[in-house]
Amino acid sequence: MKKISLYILLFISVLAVSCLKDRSNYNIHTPNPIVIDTTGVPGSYVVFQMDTLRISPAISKEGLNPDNLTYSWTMNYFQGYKRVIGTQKKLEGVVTEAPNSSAYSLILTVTDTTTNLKAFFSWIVTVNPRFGEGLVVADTKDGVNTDLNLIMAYNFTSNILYDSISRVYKNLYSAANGAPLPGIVKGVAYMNYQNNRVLTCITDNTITRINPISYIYTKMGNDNFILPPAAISPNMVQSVAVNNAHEYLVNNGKVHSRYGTNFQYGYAFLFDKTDYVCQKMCGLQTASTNGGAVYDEKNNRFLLLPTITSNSAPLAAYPVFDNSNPAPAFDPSNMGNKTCLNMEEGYNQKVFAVMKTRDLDQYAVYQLSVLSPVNGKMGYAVNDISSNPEIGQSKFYTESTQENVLFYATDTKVYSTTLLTGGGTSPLLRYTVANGEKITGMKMHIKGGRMSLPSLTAPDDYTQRITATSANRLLLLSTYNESTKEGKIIAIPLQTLGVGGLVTDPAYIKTYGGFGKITAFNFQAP
Amino acid sequence: MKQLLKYSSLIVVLFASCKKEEIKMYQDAPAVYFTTPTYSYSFTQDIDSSAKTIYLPVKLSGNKSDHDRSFNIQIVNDSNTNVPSELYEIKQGQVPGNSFDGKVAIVLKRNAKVDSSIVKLRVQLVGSNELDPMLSPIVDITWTGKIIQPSNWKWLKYYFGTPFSTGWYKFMIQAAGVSSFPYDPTQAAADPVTWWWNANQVQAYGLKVKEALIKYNAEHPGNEMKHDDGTYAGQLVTMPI
Repeated sequence: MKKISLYILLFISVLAVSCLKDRSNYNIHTPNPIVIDTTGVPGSYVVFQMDTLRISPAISKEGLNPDNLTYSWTMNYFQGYKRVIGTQKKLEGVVTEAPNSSAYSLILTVTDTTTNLKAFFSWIVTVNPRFGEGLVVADTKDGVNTDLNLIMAYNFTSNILYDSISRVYKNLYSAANGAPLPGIVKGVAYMNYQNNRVLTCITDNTITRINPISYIYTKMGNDNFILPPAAISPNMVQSVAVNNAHEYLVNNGKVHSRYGTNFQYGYAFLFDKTDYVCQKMCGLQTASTNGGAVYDEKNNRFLLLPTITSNSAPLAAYPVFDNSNPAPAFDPSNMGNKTCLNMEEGYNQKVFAVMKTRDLDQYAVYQLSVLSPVNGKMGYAVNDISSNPEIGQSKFYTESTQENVLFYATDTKVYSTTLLTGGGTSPLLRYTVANGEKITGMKMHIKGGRMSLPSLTAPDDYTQRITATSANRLLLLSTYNESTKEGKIIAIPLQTLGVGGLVTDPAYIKTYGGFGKITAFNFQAP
Repeated sequence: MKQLLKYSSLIVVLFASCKKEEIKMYQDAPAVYFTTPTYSYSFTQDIDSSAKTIYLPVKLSGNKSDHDRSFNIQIVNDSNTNVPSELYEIKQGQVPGNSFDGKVAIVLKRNAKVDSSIVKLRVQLVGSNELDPMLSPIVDITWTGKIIQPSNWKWLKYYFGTPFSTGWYKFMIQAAGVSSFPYDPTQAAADPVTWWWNANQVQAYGLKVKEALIKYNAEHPGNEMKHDDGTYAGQLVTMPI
């Protein structure tokens, strides 16, 4: 019995011993670590798709032949994405990764093949579309067809951090599609809804939708609509890009919209039995109660757009005029014999409408409320600009959301006119183009990029310049010289807010030349 | 010795407790059920056709299978069926492999009686050796050559209004320039050929109809569009969009 007990205890002891943790420290050799020295190497990179990424860290391992080290550079993303971009000590690899809103992780793995010891280092790599954020410029060289170009520069591209860097891609549309766009493009809009990006170009009788990553056209004519309209005769196109991306199109007197991932315009917004004919409209960039306003040329009245999430709802009339104290400035439902020259979002989320009496040289800026409170007092302000210099020759109009000022341009001059409380104005000549050049377009830049402004303490010292975002602070002009056949984009920072004070020091005014006659331009966001 | 046996037993129990056991997965008898209690069709949607194949959607209860599984339906010969057998063909239903959705086809045919009346057919799930019937095993099918409230009115009402009437539906078809409004997201999975519109399309056509209604009412002051029959006869037509 004792023997049996002994055997069993012995057996259990053996089992227990086999589980004993080995805490001895004999025969341990600590290998020298692999050192990845990134001194002087940036921790993050911003590249364009198809760019070549070059990184050269110093790598050492004491006492080891460098031939025994292997290198693996991999681009990594969510959901297990991993691609080897290089296998040499120095990285020189083409970034083929798709542009994404989140950055990639570039991971360098160095392996000692004799011990399998590894060392790692990672970088953040943001990949931008090759044709990414910038300014789309439509130009014509023959007066018959239009091509598209893209300026990616400090002024328009948020990821370009230095004033000295710029890329101008010319003739993108014809390069991608084999021929330029037929007709003269008079409006361009860009929309990005959850990374579904489209450019829309309109001429007098065409609507073309383009993929802004490749510049290949995707839809033309009636294909742009869920139900084909009676005629393709577009007046204007406008995107809302700041909040809840969507797009408006005025076609054949009616307003259409599109929203979400459906790239086709819905049926036109309806109104009551009196119908409407629209040429100008404005969608607010951050709409809430209503989406914006349209001007009905047939019945001389403004109408309210529903919010885009209710885009099957009809246009709404402005509430009945309430002239009780404090009296509103005007009745949006009864504008008299006036035509609308321009509608844009201005200061304090008001729609600025430049109106002209049809048979008289009378001009005025009407400021409309479109948001709450929706009542009979939404005619916010009127400023008569009939006496402003050269207003009769004015062709282009724009404003910033950051000041109560209208800019208007003739063929050669840009004026600002401060819209004073009580209806007065204070016009000033702000810019005159070079001899031989004519202004072909003017618009306030509203999205993307930065600009330089003179320092407040040392305005004459360019080295002490300050940086500001371009949105609503950068006035863009397009000009054309008939003799040289060159078109230019001229970017003029708005230095002094409140009075339309454009910068006067030429060092801060950027010019992008080498185009044909520019017929339209618009931001292209990421 | 007793002590020895006791401790030995304990060791055996300890070892036995370490045995790996497979986790038992939930198993249930797979079954199918209808997702709609009624289905109606009017040959006004395809005026020249003599037959229409409809697909009744079913859902699977239980686990998906890696292979297609079939099931059967049969007619219920009661007062809810008034159509002779030569006016329909019942096909075998199927739930495809790796899917929770299935369908069964029924061919609806047309003759003079169908054109002048509404015929009805009640069908019942009877399952198969692979799939049992469960929950909602019955669907009442009606078809006609006349205008009737279509089976997808439960969706169309959000665009064209809840009340249905023959005159209003005729107006809708004429104004939209279509023979039907094939929008039904619940039936689209089973029959995407019949129910091929998306929400944007039905909204666009709805607005086109509304534009025509505004025009009609403006041209007929005091005699605006009203429902001409049914529960809401005499009421003004209004649209929610």
